Amino acid sequence: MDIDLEALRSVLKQFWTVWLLALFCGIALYAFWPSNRARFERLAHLPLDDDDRPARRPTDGR
Amino acid sequence: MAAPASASAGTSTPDYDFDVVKLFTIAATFWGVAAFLVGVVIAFQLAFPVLNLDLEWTSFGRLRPLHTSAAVFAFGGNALFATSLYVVQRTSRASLFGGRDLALFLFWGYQAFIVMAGVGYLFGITQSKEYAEPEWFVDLWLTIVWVVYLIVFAGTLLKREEPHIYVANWFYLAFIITVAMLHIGNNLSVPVSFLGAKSYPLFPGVQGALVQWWYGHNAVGFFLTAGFLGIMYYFVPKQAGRPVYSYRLSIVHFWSLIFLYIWAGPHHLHYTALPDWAQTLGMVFSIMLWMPSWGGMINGLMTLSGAWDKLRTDPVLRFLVTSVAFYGMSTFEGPVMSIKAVNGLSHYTDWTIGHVHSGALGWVAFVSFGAIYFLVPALWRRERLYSSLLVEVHFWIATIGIVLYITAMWISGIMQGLMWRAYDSLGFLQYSFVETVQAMFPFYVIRALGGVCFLIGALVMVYNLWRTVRGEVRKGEMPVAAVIPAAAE
Repeated sequence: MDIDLEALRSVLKQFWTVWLLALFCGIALYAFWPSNRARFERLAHLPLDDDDRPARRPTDGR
Repeated sequence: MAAPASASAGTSTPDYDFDVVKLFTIAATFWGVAAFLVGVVIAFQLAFPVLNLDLEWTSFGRLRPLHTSAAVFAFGGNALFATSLYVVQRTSRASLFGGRDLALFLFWGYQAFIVMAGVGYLFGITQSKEYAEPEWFVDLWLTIVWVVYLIVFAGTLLKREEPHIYVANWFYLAFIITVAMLHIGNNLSVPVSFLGAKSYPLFPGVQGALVQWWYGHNAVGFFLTAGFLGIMYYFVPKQAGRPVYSYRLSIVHFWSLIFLYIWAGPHHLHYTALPDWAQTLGMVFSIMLWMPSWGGMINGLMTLSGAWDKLRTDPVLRFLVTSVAFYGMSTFEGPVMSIKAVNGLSHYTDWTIGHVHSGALGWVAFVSFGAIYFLVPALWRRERLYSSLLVEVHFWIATIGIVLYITAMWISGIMQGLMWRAYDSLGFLQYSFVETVQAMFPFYVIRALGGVCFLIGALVMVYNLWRTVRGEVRKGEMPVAAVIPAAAE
């Protein structure tokens, strides 16, 4: 017999705060998962990697 | 330092479009001064009503939305445009999507929105919704401009050379998308005629009120918070020369802000016709907002960890760090005020005005000043600012102005609230309304003087920036190479 998707949806929909909470917990776990640590520490340097003071570049006479 | 995150580091730089960033920076500075000036005028109007001049165009009721819109949308908005279009290019290592023509349309289109809205207020054309006063035709125009903004910003992200999207861009993107949603949702209205300015909102009564404050609070949450957090996450690390304290915390900061902020609006409607459960929901979510707010504040402040001495020598960094401290303070105060018992005392009083200004002056304006002081030498390719001393002067005079402003409004607001609820022994109200107004007079004067300080500080900034653009360095100030340490070390 076919699963009644509509009935399933209406049941799951009632617990939407739970799903959102689970999603958020998943994000937090991802962020603090130990093996991701090195990657995120590297990414934190992203804005510092470009020199945005053009006047300070050696080519500009410094 | 860790290996460069960029795939293209060391290769040729993209053809960045900084001309439009320059225009937005100039506009932010100009509208900032205009907004502070109108603020000072209406602050004095409250103390001395004769300054209304007995003209409808210069009455408090018409100038007040001019002040708030100029501060939020003209000053804050242009600062967000300038910084977001700078940051997205820099951290994506890509030039703006759509080229220079689309960028110019964005600039002039947004300025046209500001002028249309502002002129409308003076002539009494308003839909009387706070922070959403412009009428339907101005709203339609802003919708077009905003969609172009989304296309330019998201298009630049899509063509990025850098594989990762830096966290500041997430905040900017959330700001752009959410403001689009809020703007359209709250401005659904039916014009009375095709050629007339007047319209009526689609949602009546308490539904309309809820939609309005869903919009109003998230204008604070996504325009004045998420967007400016984008500024924090780029410019604080840049100016400090250090990476953000915890990139992982910034991810959690972002998502907790996104998940929670959108529900806090009903706290603007405590003890109204809004159902009790909705009021309580708004209160609970407002209190939960302590977590992302303080997580973000800690992340910003701790970026300085190990480099606190820079606060003594670098006044631009001091602007940025003080703004984060004000962010923490006003986002602590806000949830407290959203508690029903506290709100019963604070709502409709000057306390609210004080709270808004500790956020607007201390957080939004200070972080924008910091970013503008960073951007002007970078954009105009100047070695340094004309004068660090003048930045210092600006910092202290503006800080004193904020302290005068918010302490005056705290005292005035709490006094006002207490006077309203005071009963005499026979159960009659102890004070008439006009007595509360008279009692607030000295605080209105102090508040206006605080505003004058803030305005003077901004004028000092304009002078300093003008001399900087001209390529001058103030006599006696050594060419400080230490202001910005080289990024990669």
